[in-house]
Amino acid sequence: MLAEIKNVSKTYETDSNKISVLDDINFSVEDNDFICIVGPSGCGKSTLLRIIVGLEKPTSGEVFFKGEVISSDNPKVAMVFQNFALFPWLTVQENIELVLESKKQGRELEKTACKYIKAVGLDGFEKVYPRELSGGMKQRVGFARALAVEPVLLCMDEPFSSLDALTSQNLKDELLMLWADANMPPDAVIMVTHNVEEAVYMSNRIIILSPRPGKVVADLKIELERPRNRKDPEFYRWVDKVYSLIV
Amino acid sequence: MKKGHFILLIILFLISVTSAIYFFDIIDFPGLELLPYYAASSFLRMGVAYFFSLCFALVFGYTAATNIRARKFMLPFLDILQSVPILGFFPAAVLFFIGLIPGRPGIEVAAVFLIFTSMAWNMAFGVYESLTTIPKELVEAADSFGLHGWQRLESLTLPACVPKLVYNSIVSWSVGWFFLVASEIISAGSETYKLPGIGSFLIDTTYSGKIALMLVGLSILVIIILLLELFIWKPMQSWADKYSYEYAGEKKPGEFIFNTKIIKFSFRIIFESFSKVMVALYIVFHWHKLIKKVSKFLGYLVLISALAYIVYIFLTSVAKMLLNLPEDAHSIPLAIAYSFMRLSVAYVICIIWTIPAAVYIARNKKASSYLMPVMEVAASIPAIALFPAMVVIFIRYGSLDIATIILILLGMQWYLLFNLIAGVKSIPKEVENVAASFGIKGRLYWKRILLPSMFPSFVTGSITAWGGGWNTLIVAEYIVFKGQEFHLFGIGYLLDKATFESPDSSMVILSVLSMAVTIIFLNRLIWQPLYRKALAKYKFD
Repeated sequence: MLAEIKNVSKTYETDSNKISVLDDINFSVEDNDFICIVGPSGCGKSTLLRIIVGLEKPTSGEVFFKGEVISSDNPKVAMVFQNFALFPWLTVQENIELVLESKKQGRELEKTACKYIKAVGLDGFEKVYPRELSGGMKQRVGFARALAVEPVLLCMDEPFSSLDALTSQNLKDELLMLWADANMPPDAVIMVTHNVEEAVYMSNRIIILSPRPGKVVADLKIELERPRNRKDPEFYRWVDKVYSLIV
Repeated sequence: MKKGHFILLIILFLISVTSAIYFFDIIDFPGLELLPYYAASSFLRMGVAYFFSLCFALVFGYTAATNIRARKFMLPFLDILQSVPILGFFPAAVLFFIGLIPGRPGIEVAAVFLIFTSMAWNMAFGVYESLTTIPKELVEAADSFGLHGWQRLESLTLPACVPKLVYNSIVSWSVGWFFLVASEIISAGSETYKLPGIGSFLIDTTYSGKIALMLVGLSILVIIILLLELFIWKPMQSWADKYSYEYAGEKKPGEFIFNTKIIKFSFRIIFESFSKVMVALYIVFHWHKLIKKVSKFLGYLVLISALAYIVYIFLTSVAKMLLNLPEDAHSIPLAIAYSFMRLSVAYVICIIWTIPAAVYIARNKKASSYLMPVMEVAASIPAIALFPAMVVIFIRYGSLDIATIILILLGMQWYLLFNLIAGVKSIPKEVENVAASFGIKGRLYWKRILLPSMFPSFVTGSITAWGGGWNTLIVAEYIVFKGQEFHLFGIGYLLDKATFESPDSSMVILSVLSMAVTIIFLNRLIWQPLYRKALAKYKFD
């Protein structure tokens, strides 16, 4: 078992009342899991992901990573952001080297950075600033940065939703290729998305949350052959099934 | 013609006129050969004050942004400091520093201090705003990739401050020139202290009626300001663009007549070494828990003792005043009313001309390429420096009232104009397209689209314009020319009279305080609610 989410609840307190966002979430993450968390908007998917990574503290409950309580400093967990979160004043390569340096993987900075720049297909763009890249290319840098720290667990917060349909489809396929490559990190992925088709296309496990306060409604294993075919009727049976569980 | 060319042309013209007078000895004036030395000393004073402002801004802004408890009293404190007319406190500051350090060094410190007080607050706000508006995801990325301590400082905190800090530095320098002119001749009590510099040269020559010489000094001042604009601020702005978050990154049109790569490269080197120094300091302070605690303790000690000192001075002087109320005290409310009326008249004139001018300039590319440099040059001349010359004209041909109002206008109008131009330019293209495609024109267009979208920048511009106006007031209601004194009744006059004519420290404090209270009252009552409304209702984002 890689990680365990145990009795996690989250409430936000405003001046007048308490808002419960997540209610007693439990599941565990195993090796080779590609988990998608889906649910209606406002159900606390992103909050859950932030708690798993250690960016936010749950109101009650705990998240264990390899038996220890998670902290955001953990170098074995990396994150990919919806709006890329690249440092605009650093070049592509510097953006990646920065996190390598901070995660204490200082040796062979340049070599590691270049390896992952190449892996996401951005060779030749090492010295370019993020503002000069298209959205899809920026997210490639986001992936390269997260992979470069060679994480065991990769967490992604709607990584494709600020890209156009065509770009995101290409990027999904490339990401799946990297995922299939045994030499590449990570060992497990958790991805938050509101796109059911995307979840069925990519993951081998889907966790469905209820409307607020989010509870685990279902935890499905997707038993479809890879590479998956969107036109396959079987594919659509899975999509319909997930949809029916969300509402 | 590019804007840079135009500015360069103006510089060349000024240089040739000035050097003609200078080298051909058209005017015989002892000490004219010292002008370069005067200019250099003035520039040095500005530089030193700027350096301290920068350090203050970083420390203050960083603390206010990261320490929620400290923020609660730091921000209102800064707000008050910013809205108080600094010029009024100046005599007191001079006496304090001269008491501390006798002789010229004391006066130098006092002058630098005055310039510092005009530069520091807006830069500190800039740092605070930069740090509190870093995009949330970027902060989370820094957290999740374990960027802490000095690494975070170097890779996130300092770079995030760059764009606003550069922009506010430019504003600070132009305000600083105004205060430089005011700070080089200081009368405190019965003494008059003078420092060699371009500001004292300007005032000296005017007061002794040597207008041609005054013009030479003025053009040297303008030349320095323009050279800075061309070789420091413009390249610095384009360098700072690298640090802004706008990923979509439209390239701004090049305004340059020369390649600024070398200048930009040197900015980078300076910035990187500066941030290395900050990082080193950070590491030293966080090296051991004890050092951190001791430095924190010392910081609080300094802060609290400074506050205690200010409160002490304040209370004792208030007590003194109450025991022995100056005889002029009863006329303060009326004086404030008079001054307020003058400011209002100037403000109304400002509004009347700047709104159409801003729309025209922002909309008309060709006109703006000629008008903007001229406006910027005009705006860069500290209003104080022009006052003596205007008095000469108006004493002969008109009334002092008109001169005063014109001077206040000069101290107010540019803030409003430049803010409004930026406001018109920031109206999104889509909104314009909607207006065009639905045929919204004429009055309806002004009423429903143009004026509402200018409203936020109108409010920001007005706040700074009034701030500038109050400061100008202090020098605009009282003047000595050729040994003769002219004045208009108002709070500025009362203040100057208590400073220069019949020294009365409690009257100085009383008039500055009542002025400050008026300003804070106006800010709270009018500008802040308007600003909130502007942000809530009329802001595009």
